[in-house]
Amino acid sequence: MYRYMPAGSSLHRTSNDHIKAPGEIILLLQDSPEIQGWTQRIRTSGLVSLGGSSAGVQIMATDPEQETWVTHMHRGLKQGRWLNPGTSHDLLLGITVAQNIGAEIGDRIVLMAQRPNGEMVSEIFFLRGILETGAPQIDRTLALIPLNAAQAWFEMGESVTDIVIRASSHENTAGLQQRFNQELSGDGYEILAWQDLDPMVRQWLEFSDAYGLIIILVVVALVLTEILNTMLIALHERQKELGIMIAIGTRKSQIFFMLLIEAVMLILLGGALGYGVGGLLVLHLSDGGIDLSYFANAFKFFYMDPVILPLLTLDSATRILGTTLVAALLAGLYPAWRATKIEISQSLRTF
Amino acid sequence: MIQPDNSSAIITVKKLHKCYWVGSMPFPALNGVNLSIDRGEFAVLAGRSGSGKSTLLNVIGALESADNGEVIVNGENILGMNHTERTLFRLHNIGFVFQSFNLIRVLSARENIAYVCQLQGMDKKESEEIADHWLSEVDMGHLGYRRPDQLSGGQQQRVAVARALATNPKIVLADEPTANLDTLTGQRLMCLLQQLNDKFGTTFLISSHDPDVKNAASRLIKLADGQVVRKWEKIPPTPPPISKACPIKNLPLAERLRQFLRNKRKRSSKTDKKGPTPRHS
Repeated sequence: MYRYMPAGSSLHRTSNDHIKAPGEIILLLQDSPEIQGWTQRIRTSGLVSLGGSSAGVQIMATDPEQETWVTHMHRGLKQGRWLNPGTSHDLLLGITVAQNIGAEIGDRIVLMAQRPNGEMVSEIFFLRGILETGAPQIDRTLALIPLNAAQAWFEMGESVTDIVIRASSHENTAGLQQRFNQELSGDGYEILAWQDLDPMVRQWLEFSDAYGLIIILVVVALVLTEILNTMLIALHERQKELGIMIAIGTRKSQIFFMLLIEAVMLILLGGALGYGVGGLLVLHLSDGGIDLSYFANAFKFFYMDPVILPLLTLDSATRILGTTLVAALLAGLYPAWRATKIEISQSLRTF
Repeated sequence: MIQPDNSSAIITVKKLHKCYWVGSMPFPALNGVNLSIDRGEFAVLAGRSGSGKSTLLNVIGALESADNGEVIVNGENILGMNHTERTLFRLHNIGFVFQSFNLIRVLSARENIAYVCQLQGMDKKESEEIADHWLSEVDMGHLGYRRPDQLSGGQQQRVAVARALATNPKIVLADEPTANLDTLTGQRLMCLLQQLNDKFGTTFLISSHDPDVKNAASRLIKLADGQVVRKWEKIPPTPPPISKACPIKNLPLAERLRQFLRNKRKRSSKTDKKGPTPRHS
């Protein structure tokens, strides 16, 4: 499930012992602007059975409401509904698990697991929904039940095995980890950032960043080429006009800066148009995102949500616009220099 | 060849040589030109195509350099100037009227004129006032907001004349100003240039092989093979063929047409008497 919390940290015991008083930790999380949401979970391995079919699963119990602040799992509902809070015996299964045991919505399904004291117990749950998260490994093993039902079933009182936090931003992750390490040191808690929980995701994101940088460089190179091409064609077409301007007294330095300003104006106008259209698209897609489920197989090794939510921030917009403006100035240098080399008498003869 | 008295000369050209090169082939354009133009003159450079008229105008106008010689315009030796100095010299001393009008196509007639004023450092308001004044001087005040492609050839050339004079230049150089105009429009333009010469005392040096332009000249300089071949002489200012009607725009249409046809008939009869005109004359 860690693929859902790239901006968060997971807090759990280093031993098999569970967190007996999660309320003390929850108090630390409240009213912190660096934290977008948190949830408590119980995780354990188990077995799911329906009729003669059974499959090994990872049982995950969570607070149904709090979970929606931390992950987008609820958006992956393929059939049925999300978990009801309280002690209801609702069960959600990953789509592959459900298919493997032939389960349908409303079926009575037996879950078997081990209590913290080692005792094996089983309980009947009702299948309320089927989840397709887009990550085959999770869809193959997930059994999701309400936290309160699990605490009652495992006789754990208010204990949990994990507290999962979603930070409001990537940048806050390291600071939060450091803060909790200081505040909870000596209590036997282990505070892990998402990078620690799944180094592969970290590697993949680094790869993704590098790949993104290459794409941006290619785009910048294309923009440069396009500006250079446009300016050179314009220069050719305007040779006579520039010749007239020089003939009647425009200095070459004025021509040079005029063409540079034109290159910048070209980018500013293009940028305004691009950001306008792009901003509207982002606005339109910000709710549903761009659904790449059709290519789900391509993402299965990367734990990547096939629904991509576009985001336009002032920071990235300014950075990209600044880069292209510098690129435009560079691309405009050559045509501007060429313009200053125009032979007046020759250019006046052109039509 | 008569050596000009330079005391009142605004243009003095001495032993001017200019050669174009096509690959390794030299094409001499000016072969030791000597001439002098006085202030306020309305001089015409005549000669066949390739005689060096345009090259001489370009060199005098600091648009082109020369290989050898001396060109003193308004007391300054322009051949010794660098590029920026020549640009500033053109801006403050010379107005150009070109054969193909050469207005900036993206600017209106008014903006074309105001642009040169702004280059001289005037602010926008002042430049526009001057542009309006000169547009009315050339009878184009009502068309100032049109772009060049929305004007006829004659109208464009009037705007070009206004642009050339807007910066109050010492000299106006006009290269074949009537070549792209029909006869009547060309005559009207020459009439306008003469009026401006009379009114403001600006020196005009015009290259042309148009007989109407030659007739309008106060001095005629004939070039052939890059040299001045005819002793220049002050010819009495001959009014242009339609000078009685100048400005022609003030005449009723019927009278204008009558004059135009009369002139045309005169020219035809002269041609008939001479017989067929040789191709290269």
